[in-house]
Amino acid sequence: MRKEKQSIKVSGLCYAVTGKTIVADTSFEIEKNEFLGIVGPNGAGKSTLLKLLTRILTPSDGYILIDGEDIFGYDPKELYRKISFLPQISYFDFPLSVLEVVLMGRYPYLGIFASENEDDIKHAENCLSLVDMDGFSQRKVTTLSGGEQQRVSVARVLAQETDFIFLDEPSSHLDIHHKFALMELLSSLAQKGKGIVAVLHDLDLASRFCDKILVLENGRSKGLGKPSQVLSEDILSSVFKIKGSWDPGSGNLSVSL
Amino acid sequence: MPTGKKTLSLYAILASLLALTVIACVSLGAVSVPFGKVLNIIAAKSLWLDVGAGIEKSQELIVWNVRLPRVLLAATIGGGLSIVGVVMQAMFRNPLAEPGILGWSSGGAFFAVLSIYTGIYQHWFLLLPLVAFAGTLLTAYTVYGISRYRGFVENTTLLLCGVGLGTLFISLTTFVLSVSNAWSMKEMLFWLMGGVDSRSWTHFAMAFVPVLIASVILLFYAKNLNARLLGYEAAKTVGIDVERTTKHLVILSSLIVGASVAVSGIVGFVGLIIPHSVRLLIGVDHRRLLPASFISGAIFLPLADLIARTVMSPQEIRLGVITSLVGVPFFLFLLRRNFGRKTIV
Repeated sequence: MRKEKQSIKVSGLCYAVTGKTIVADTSFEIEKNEFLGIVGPNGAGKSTLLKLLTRILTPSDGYILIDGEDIFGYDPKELYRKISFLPQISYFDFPLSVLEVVLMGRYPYLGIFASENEDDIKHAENCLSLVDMDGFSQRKVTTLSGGEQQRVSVARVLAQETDFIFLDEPSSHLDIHHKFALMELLSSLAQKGKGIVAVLHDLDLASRFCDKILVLENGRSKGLGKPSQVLSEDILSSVFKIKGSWDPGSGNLSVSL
Repeated sequence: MPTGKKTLSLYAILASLLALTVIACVSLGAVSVPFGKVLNIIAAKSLWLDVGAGIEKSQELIVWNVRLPRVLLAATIGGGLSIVGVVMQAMFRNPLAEPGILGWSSGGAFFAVLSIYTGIYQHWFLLLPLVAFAGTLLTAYTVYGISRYRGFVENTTLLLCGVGLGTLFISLTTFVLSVSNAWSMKEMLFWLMGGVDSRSWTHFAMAFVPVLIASVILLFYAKNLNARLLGYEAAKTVGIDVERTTKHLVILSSLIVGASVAVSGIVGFVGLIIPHSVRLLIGVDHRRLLPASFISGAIFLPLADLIARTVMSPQEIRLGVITSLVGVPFFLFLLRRNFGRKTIV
């Protein structure tokens, strides 16, 4: 394969439904080794963009190249061995065990009648311990709290062992400790060579952990780059309608209404 | 995990229970035939031999011509409707989905009745189940199409739509039967409150061939169904081609439902009772749930039929009445448990 082109290239991406444009002419590149945060006000098209990048939705125009090849050229299993996705909401209506859920991350690697082997199970257990859910593998997901379910879903995505991981508001149900732990985990995964793309609501958290920030407003990119460059006072007041400043000492962003 | 020793012994237990159930149900009834003689007759007849001395002709007839096809047919549709229940519940991520409730059975039954009263069915033994299959498929897609909005299927809409369309097909069935012959009341009872009474080997073959083929193919979709439990987006991004395989699942399920209602009328709630009970016992993984539900349904329905023909003997209760008596409380319990849970496929 083309080892030199391990990136996702997005060009002129548009998505419109029933005449309403949700993502408009967005182009950018996602590289491995980086943690990209997508931020923007409600209805900016962040989730839609993520669904386009993961082939859940089909763009009305533009294209997405994954490792130099069009996203629609991939067979499903092949594609989802390269990219994985954590949806905004995880549904657990049926009493699956935690391990069963995490092992589904191995499905892109399994043939039609093949079952998970010892290595898959070991791998799944490791992913569970990365999200601080050791010892939960035999519990029913339906008996867990929202935050615990969210961490199980993250483990499922990690079990998929993909180069690129897309997450839609991964920290929304988590308590403050696990919120930071998750952001640290994602940032360390990026350092180990993965490409991480997450839709985030918390600008403070995003500016602390992300290598790059993409600001979306009304489906259009308003800037892409280092947090301190992109989240300028201008952007904060025009896009987010808040006041913000960067503390020169700590390098942290502080925002207020 | 799914093919461990535990799973194998589970199948061994279920298979022995099934064999025992079949023999017991053939043996018991208005005229009981001892176990030994039942085995003797079945063994001899299936090897094309003469049954030995000491067995009366009437016993041979009861066992081979009357009860065995009836019991095996009950097992076939019990297994078939159960496996379809499992598939529908995972596919729609709705614990209340079932061929009877979603109107599929009524649609199939109406087409079966049409094919009988137009004479189409006479040309080939599989035409009756195939026409019923077409009717089931049509109903399935209509219900699915109406309750699908912007790519999502809303649970309550799906159920209400199924119930509504089901009622329409029951009315149409009643209409066709009432204008077409003098025995309409009895016929109506047969189709609307299904049963396996007075069924022959031909009826068994009509149901068995499609049900077995479709059920075996469905086993290939076990992991697909597992992934669907996580929701559309998660299923898609672990490599499931949701749209394409939904078509396969609907077609295979309709084939089973069509073949079942074509020979036995509407037997409701089996697809609800069995899958939920089996899930409680062995969990949610479809690699075990599909085969275990099939065998459990194949055990359950002959037993329900045994009750139907023995408790008020010589009067027979309709099998559909028995399954409704068990199934409706079950349905209400599940409805209550899922109350307030807003889930979207």
